[in-house]
Amino acid sequence: MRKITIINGCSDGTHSVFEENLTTEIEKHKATLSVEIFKLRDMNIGYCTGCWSCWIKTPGLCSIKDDMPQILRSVEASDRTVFLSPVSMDFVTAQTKKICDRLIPLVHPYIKVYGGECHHVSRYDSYPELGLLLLDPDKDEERFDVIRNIFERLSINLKSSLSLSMVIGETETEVSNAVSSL
Amino acid sequence: MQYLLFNGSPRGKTGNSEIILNNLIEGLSHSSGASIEVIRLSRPSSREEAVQKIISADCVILVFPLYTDAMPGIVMDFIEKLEPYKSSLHELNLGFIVHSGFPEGKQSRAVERYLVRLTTLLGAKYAGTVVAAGSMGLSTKQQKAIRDLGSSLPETMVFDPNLISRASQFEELSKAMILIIKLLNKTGFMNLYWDKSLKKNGAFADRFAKPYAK
Repeated sequence: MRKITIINGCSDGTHSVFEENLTTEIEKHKATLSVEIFKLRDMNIGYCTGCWSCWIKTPGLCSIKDDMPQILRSVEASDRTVFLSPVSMDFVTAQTKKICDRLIPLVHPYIKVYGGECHHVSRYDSYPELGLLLLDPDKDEERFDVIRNIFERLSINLKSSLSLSMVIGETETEVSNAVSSL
Repeated sequence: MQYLLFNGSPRGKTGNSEIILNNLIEGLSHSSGASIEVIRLSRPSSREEAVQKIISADCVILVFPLYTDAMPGIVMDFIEKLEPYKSSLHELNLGFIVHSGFPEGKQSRAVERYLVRLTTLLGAKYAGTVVAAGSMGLSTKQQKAIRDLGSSLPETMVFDPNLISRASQFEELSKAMILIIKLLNKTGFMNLYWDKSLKKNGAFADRFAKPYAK
């Protein structure tokens, strides 16, 4: 069964109808998909402080004692990890960006050349594919492209690929399409 | 002229953003009548303060380290707090300095595109983005370029493109550099800094640990 981790970066209840529809739709696929959703606003997760403990003191282990290890384990166990976020100031929410920063324990501080660029050496044998589901009622293509580009770069740094990226509204059809693409 | 300088590093005073800011301030200080204030965004209360003060500034320069290909989470938290000011900061000159441990400027171009959009979203005037790559050891040439950017900013309120390129090191690795890095990797020199730190902390043997493995 395919394992999907969803990082839900909706900062408040504005999108709660969408979130309910998403859960209902995922339920319909339970024969083929095992989905774990992390609703960040209900979790206790701090910002990365740049202390580098995970690189030089306790290799691979973040020093912040909060709920992040649940997400890190789930990401590592998943076939695809999907960032779900509404547009916020033309980017993803700070909640969502916070999780990206907290992924650095998954890579090694060592640097090597990959595809002609410097990148961190892998810590784990494999990484999930990444996905981006951007909630944007305007479906502004230029705005989406700027955000997608940053997540594409992130996927290079995680030796992964951004194999799913969609900008969606909140209608039931769109939710259903998004879940079918998971 | 009221200059408000934001240090967007989660490390606050002890990071490379502060070194960059100090160079910028040194340059800016040459201009008479420049009032300069620094706010470090590492504390939540300082992010509130920064939002309050942005309205009365003539020029804001936001300095931050590249975190997973974009701004650190705390900087995005600050940016979200600017939501009430969308399309309203018409008098503000807004510029950015992004620095990365990675040596190539290329790694910061994706977030640069976002910073242009952000400036437009706020209705502000874009002073430009300086990409200072290789910040684990900023060269004297780069630091001088940042000081010169500070001295020339008051005149035009835009970062001089020639100085931007002097501050940026190089855009992409050349074939020769790739060969050198591969050689440094083989000989162990490439990661000497990390190995020293790991050994100092007694963590060298565990350096490939996989604590979150399935």
